[in-house]
Formats: sequence, structure tokens, C-alpha cells
Amino acid sequence: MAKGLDIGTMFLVKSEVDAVVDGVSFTAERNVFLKASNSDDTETTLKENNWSYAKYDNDFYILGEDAIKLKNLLTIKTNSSNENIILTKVSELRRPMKDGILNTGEEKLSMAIIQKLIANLIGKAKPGENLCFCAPGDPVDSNLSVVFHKTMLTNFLKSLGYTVECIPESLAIIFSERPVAEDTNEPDGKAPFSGIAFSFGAGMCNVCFAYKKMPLINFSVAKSGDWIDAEAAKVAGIDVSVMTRFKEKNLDLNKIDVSDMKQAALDIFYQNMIEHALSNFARKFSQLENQIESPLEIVVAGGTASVPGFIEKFNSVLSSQTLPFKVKSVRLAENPLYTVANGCLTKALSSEKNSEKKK
Amino acid sequence: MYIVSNLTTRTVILSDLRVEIGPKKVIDLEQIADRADIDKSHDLRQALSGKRLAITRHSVIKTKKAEPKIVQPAIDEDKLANMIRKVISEEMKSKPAQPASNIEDTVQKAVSNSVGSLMSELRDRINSFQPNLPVNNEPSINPEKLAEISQKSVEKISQSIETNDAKKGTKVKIVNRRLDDLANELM
Repeated sequence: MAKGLDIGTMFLVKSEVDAVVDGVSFTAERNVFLKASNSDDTETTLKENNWSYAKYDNDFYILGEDAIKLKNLLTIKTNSSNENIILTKVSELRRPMKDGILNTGEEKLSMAIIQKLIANLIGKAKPGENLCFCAPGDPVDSNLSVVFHKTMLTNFLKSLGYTVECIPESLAIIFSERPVAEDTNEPDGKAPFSGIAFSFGAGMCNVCFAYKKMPLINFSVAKSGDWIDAEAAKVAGIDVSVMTRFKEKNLDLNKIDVSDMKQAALDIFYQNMIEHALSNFARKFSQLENQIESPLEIVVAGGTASVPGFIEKFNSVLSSQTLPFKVKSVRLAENPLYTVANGCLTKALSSEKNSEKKK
Repeated sequence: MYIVSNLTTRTVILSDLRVEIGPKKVIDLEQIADRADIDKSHDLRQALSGKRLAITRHSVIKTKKAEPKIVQPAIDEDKLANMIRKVISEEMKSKPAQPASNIEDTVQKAVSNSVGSLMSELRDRINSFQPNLPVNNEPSINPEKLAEISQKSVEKISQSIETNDAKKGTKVKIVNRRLDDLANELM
């Protein structure tokens, strides 16, 4: 009965048990919307095309995947010779979340829309249903605070009737992928749920080092997928949403064509992102009171890490860095887009079993 | 006074001022909040630009902008000249009588030494200057409390949003026989 919810900057992902496939069913929705023009036939057009939309105060907003498709379809790149021509512009994509947390720079309508997207995705709770969602760690390279984000979402999810708990995003990867370290103090010599997890999402990269389920290091850095798209788009001179689409559909980090500006730019910024995350983690690890001697497994997940060739790129950067710990292995999570949601579901199920046991 | 009227048929909430203005009501905000808070209110600006509220009357308060204090330490030319003369005379005493061409080098050296000393003195004077910056006495807002207040206004907006429920996202089903075991292990 339990549910997991990954509230990401780019995607909202719900996870729930699916007895039919003896597994998990994941439902993903784009966390974005686009304001439509306010003409007389707007609503008719939206309905005829079966586009997902919301109506507020006589304004229409296209939601989710339909918003990004329309934006890309209707955006025309103009050159300087067209500057004197007055064009009707397509409005900008609105992101209810930025850098991994609720975008408080946007008006409250944006927060209301993300809550509508979530409510549509997960529905109201059945009696006593557990829900576990994830939140980013405190960022080490910016002043953002995650307290407001966590509190808003917790209160909202509770209002849907759920028993709510929140875990760090990268800890969810540990719960889903179960990395194991050696521990001579254990009867079987193994410490499960012990390792390092990197979640390369759109807004932030979250990093966690856990030992026997306990997070000993947990933080985030602001350089992740969105940063790569923005910087690479500037270099290549194209719209950010076009770069995002290109990255998701065409990029292979093993086969970079350096003559293609888009690929070359993405390759550089991917490398930079991995270096930034690893160096911050190494610094935090060396500050631990008790140093861990046994080699540690690294698990990587997230949409930004899903591009072909990412693990090879990660390994290449890893081997060039001097680290304060030994690496046992590096692996990509089984389903990198859904690992966080899967970890949240695992935790929610575990909490549900605990509650039933207490009864 | 800062009188605003609600032009809509719904309650307008200004959460940063903790004010609710009923449909078609007129209210003097200065009765409820400080003028400084009113001028800084983000929600009020949004409501005015969205034409949900309109200013009926407000008194204009002109504040004198504080003029920036610029530190211009005066270069004491007499002091500089005295320093140069002193260094030159010391140099001349310490060395035997020199031909005319060497005097130029001596003077140049004396000038650069003196200017260096004067520059470091000026730097010390600038660094010791502490401008009187206004102290921010505003209490910081508890983010949890802010979240509670924001949620109330978000809920009001949410109730007025209609969606068409056309699609519920992309669904993927993945076999995972370890899920139950993992959940048991986490207990």
C-alpha cells in the first residue's frame, strides 16, 4: 500500500508496488508548465489536442511533458537581421522547482501548480497509507536552505492523508541499491547499506556516504544537469530547452564528436560537474572523525547520469583524483531514473511493516 | 495611511504582511503593518501588478537617502617633500662625494622609498576607517513558520485551479523481486 515519491527539479516520480509484475510501477511527470495565450479558443484547442492543462483566473497553463514539447516546437532562433521584426514570443517554461528545491522566486501560483501535479500523480491516501519522499542535502556551494522546501511539502502531503516521512535523496539510492562494505565486526564480515551514493539530478547533485543505513555524510552541490544545459547552451548558442532535449536523446559520452559544438560543450561540463562533486565529497570525507579503512562501493544514479558513457567518464575523473578512501567498485544503479523513487518506496514499505509489527 | 481595495470577488492574502482582504473590501494597511514592511511586501507588489488590489490613497513618505561617505585621505605634500629631503640627505652623508650623474640615481631612489612609505601609511589609514553601516535589527523569519503561512495562501490558490486530468505521466513497470527483502532488512 505504501508509496515512494521523488520530487525532482525536472521530474516527479511516483513508485508503488505492482503485484502483477512482482515489482514496482513508476509514473513520471515533467515538473514544468507553460503559460498559454488567452484567446477565446484556447480551451477548445487544449481539449482537442488532449494536452494536459490547468486553468486559474481565466489563464491557461500547459502542464508537464506537453509544455516542454510545445516550447521546443514553437521556439524559433532568430538571427540579428531579424531584430527589427516584431515577433510574438513563446512564453518561457516555468519551473516550480529550482536547484532541487521549491522555487520561492516564482509566484505562489507556481507552488500551487506543483502541488496539483503531485496530487494528480499520487492521489489521496488510503487509510493509514505511508508515503516517503526525498529532499536534497544542504548545499555546500550556495546559501540555499532546504527547511522551507521540506516543511511545505511535508504539510501538503499530510493534507492528502498520508503518513509522511522524508529521507535524503542520495540515501534513497543506498536503500535501493544496497551497497555492501567489509566489516570484520559482523558475523558474516559484511556491512550492508554501506557505501557512497551520487544522485546526479537536474537541479542538484546529492551525495551521501552511509554506513549500515546511517548517513554519515550528506550534502548537495549546485552543479548538475540544469547547470550543464545552461552553460553548454551558452557556449553552443542555442536555447536551453533544445540543449536539454539534445542531451537526453543524442548524447553519448563515449562517442563525442568534438567538431559538434553541442557535444563538445556537454563533454566539458560533464567532466567539470563530476570533478566538483568528487572533490567536495573527498573534502567532507577527510573531515570524518573516524576514518573508514575498508574499500567502499560507489553507486551512481539520476537522470543526468543516465546518458551513455557516464560511468566511463566518472571512472576517468575518479582515477585522476587523490581520494582519502579506497574504492571497491563504481556502478550505475539498475534503473538510474527511478532509483531514488525506488529507495523511497523501500523505506515507506519498511515503515509500514514496522507499524504493523507494533500493532 | 496606505489604503488598498480588493478588486476581485475572492479574498486576497498578503502572507508577508499577515493580512487577509475580503472581496471588494477596502483596508488601510498602515493600521496593521509598519510602513517599511508594506513598502517591502512582495505579495502586495504582486497583487497590485496583477490588478487584484488597487491603491486608493497613500501618503508619500520621502526619506533622505544617506549620502555615501567617501574616504579621501589627503596627500600631505609637505610631509612627502620632507621625507624625500631627509632620505636624500641621509644618502648623501653615507656616501662619498659623487659625480653629477650618480646624484640622479640617489634622488630617484629617495623618491621611490618615500612614496612607498607614504603609500603604506595611506593604506593603514584607509583600512582603519570603519564606516557606520546601519545595523539590521530585523528578526530572521523561521523557515518552518514561513512555510506554514505560505501553504495557506497556496491552498487558497490551489482550490481555484481546475485541471483537465488528461494524462497522468509516463508509466513504467519494472520487475523487482528484492523489494520485500530490502524493506525487511531496513526495519
